[in-house]
This record gives sequence, C-alpha cells and structure tokens, in this order.
Amino acid sequence: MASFFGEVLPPRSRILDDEDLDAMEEGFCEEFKVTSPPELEKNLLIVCEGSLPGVYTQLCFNNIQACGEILGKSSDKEVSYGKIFRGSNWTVVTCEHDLKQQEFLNLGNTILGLMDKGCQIICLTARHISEFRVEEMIEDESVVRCLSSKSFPATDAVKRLEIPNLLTGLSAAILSIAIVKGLPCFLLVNYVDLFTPDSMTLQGYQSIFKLKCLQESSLEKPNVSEALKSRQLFRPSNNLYI
Amino acid sequence: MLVFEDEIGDVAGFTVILPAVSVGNAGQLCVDVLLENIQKEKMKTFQVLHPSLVPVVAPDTLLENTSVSTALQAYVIEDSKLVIFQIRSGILPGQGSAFIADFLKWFKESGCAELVVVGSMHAHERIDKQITGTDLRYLTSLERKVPDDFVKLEHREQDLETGGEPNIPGGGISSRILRQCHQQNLAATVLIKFCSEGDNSTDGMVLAQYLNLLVPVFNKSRPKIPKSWQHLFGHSAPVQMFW
Repeated sequence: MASFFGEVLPPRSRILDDEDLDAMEEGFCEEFKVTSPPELEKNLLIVCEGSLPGVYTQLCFNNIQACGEILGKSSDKEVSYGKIFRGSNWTVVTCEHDLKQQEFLNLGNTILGLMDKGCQIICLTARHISEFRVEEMIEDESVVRCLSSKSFPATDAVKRLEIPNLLTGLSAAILSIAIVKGLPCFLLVNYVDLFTPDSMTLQGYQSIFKLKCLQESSLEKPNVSEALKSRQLFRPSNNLYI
Repeated sequence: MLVFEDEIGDVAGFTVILPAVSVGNAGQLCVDVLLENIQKEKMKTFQVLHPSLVPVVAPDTLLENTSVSTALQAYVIEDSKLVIFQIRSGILPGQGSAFIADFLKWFKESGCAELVVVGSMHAHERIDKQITGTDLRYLTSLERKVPDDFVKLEHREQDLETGGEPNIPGGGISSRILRQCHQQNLAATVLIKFCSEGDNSTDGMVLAQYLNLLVPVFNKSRPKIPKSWQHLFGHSAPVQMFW
C-alpha cells in the first residue's frame, strides 16, 4: 500500500517470490504446544478453521467447556491459537486465530497429534462466495462443497469441489498431511456472503450430519436459529437473520 | 524432506522435470500442458509433502475420480523414463534453499539422470540483444547437447562484474538450483522464457513445445489446452448488472 500520495509503488507480482525480503513474515510461530493434552482421540476429530465453523460446532454440543488450548509463541509471548473440546466419542478443535502461511503445516501436525489410529478427521472452513469459480452460478443454492482423502469412506452427502477451485489454509494443510499419510479426512467448505454467524451462514454446515461418523457420534444436529437465539450468539442485534 | 504418498519405485536413469515458480507462473503452466497431453493410462500420480510449500488442495484435474491434488505432485511415466513434478502453490518466503537442498538430495538418492527446470524471466530485464529474436533461452550445469536453434542465456553486465553465472531475475529458484547442480556435478538444464505477468497461457504452451524439442514428452504438434485453465480469471460477469 502507498504510504503517501504520489508514492510510486513497484508492480505487485502474483507469484510468491521466496527471496522477497518484504514478503518474509515476522512473528510467525514455528512450534505449537497443547496444554493439558487429552487422551488420543480414537473416533472423530473435527477441526474448525475460522469463526463460522467454530460457532457452528459449539451449537452441536451443550455447555461443554474447553479442556485444553493450543498455544504458540509469537514475539516471546504465548498466544492461544485454538481451543480443544472433548466429548465421549469426539474431539473438536477450534482455531479462530489469523494464521500466517508458515504456520499452516506446523499447526496442522500439532492438531493431528491429538488423534489415534482409526480416528476420522473432519475439517470445516468457510470462504467468501466471490472465491468460488464455476460455469454458472445458481443463486438460490447454498454453496457447500467437499474434498476428501482416499481412505475416508466414499459419500455423496456433499457435492465435490469443482475444477478449477482450490483451497489453502489450515484445513488444506490437514487434508494434505492426511492424504500423504493415508489418514481418513473430509474437508467441507462453506461459501458465504458474510462471515457473521447467523442462520443463513451456518446452514451449510448442517450437511455434515449426513456423514455416518457424525450420525454415530454423540454430537447433536442443532436447530441453528433456535440455538443461536438461546445462546445469544448472534451479533449485532440489528441483524435481520437469526 | 520430500514425503511421498506411496513408494515411487525405481526411477534411476529417469529425467526429472521441475517447474520453477517464476514470473507469470509460466513454468507451472508449461507442466500443465505436458500433463494434459500425456496419456493418463501411462502415468502414476503421487502426492508429495514438503514444509517449504504453501499447502493447497484442489480436485484433481487429470483423473476423473475423486482424487485430490496437493501443493506438490509427482507423475511417473515409465515408458518415457520421466518424472514430472508440478507445484500448484508457491515456495514460502525464505524457504527456497531448504526446498532445493531436499529436492536435490532426493534426486541424487534416486539415481535420476537429468534435471530439467522450466521457468521464466522478467521480460523487462532483457538486454538489447534479447529484445529481438526468440524469447526462449537455456542454461546447463554440465556440457549437454541441445538442438542447434537453442540459444544460451547471455550474460548481463552485472553478471560479468560479479564473475558469476547469468542471473535470472524473476526466475524463482532456477538460478540457485542450477548453481547447486553445478557444484554437486549433477546434470541440469534450465529452460527459460522471457515474459511479463498477465494471461500467460501462451507462454506456458510455447515453453512446453520448447521443452518437447529437448526431452520428447508428447507427440502432438498442437497440444491440447488443459482443463484446469477454465475460468482462470474468474467466471463471467453476471448479466444482471447490465439490466
């Protein structure tokens, strides 16, 4: 960005130049740790990247407090990168912290360290609808798409993400690791107009309850509007959609 | 280190093709063209993980099933003794050296015969004699026979002053990997096209045909356009805005 009127800026390049000193982000966390690490999860691990899936999953379990945190060191301070919630046969990890590119894989590996063999992984994320590329947009349809690793049981619960869309971020890192290590992983991306949690933006995540692993878990499919109202989780109060 | 999804098999004596993430992504577009024009039945695909790359996932553009592409993929074509890598994201800032070191370690341990790096260079950095004539150049780490009409990348004044090999501005890891191959006595060739950023699909096509003259990869005189190039610049504008 220009810092004063009339400043001449060099042209922006769409490629990542690994030698560009200006592009080297400072203060990224190289190592993460889990406070009070719980027992390894054997059934279902749900990873929520961003605020929307984090709010949605909290509607699926009632009044369970976080049992742990994922901490990282940033500028000599310990910062909370995520929270861990545990149920009888599931673990949910929410991560609302703004992550830097260098942190995706390291954090992904730390989160996958919470699971045992045989555990299935579900990643939930959200993107703005303008990032979705398709032949013809059907406006009335809520746009929810998925990708999964080979070892995740085949399902037609959610439409597969079309070419030439691609995803980056924490969910992409976890799915990449799962693919290379042969772990069962399912990624659901909800394309939304706004990142404010309300009944419309969270509706896309309801599709995960078509998956067998969710149906067999003790998580409950919420009535999104009622749950948001009762927990007063919607902001601001002038939002028309509850 | 490079972590492969599965055992890649014996690739001793194979030629390895690697795109450099460079101006206009021409090298990566070139590899897209190569992969689109090789018979799918002859290819084995492996997802590869390396911490120096920005992680991305996408539906596989070459296979019709539910496969997922990740940031780095290796395609092994045994008939042609080729291993083609495709990088679908970029190298994280400051991580180029780590990637090069791990890649060349794998290259040496696998006993591969030659490395061909395809990339591009800023068109605005051309010297006077490069402005006319072909936009394509090559460099090699060791002596190698090339077609007669191939033009070697010329030295610039700055390169002569430092006494080093030609610099490749905007070329990503091209010059560094070539330098490492030279130091380690590994056979490597870098193919470069001068280009600027914009719609670089033509640059990718031209570079693929140039590479095909050096290392025969596909048989077609007019290669097919890759499916992954649909909607490169987003989908068309909604007609409603003109009402």
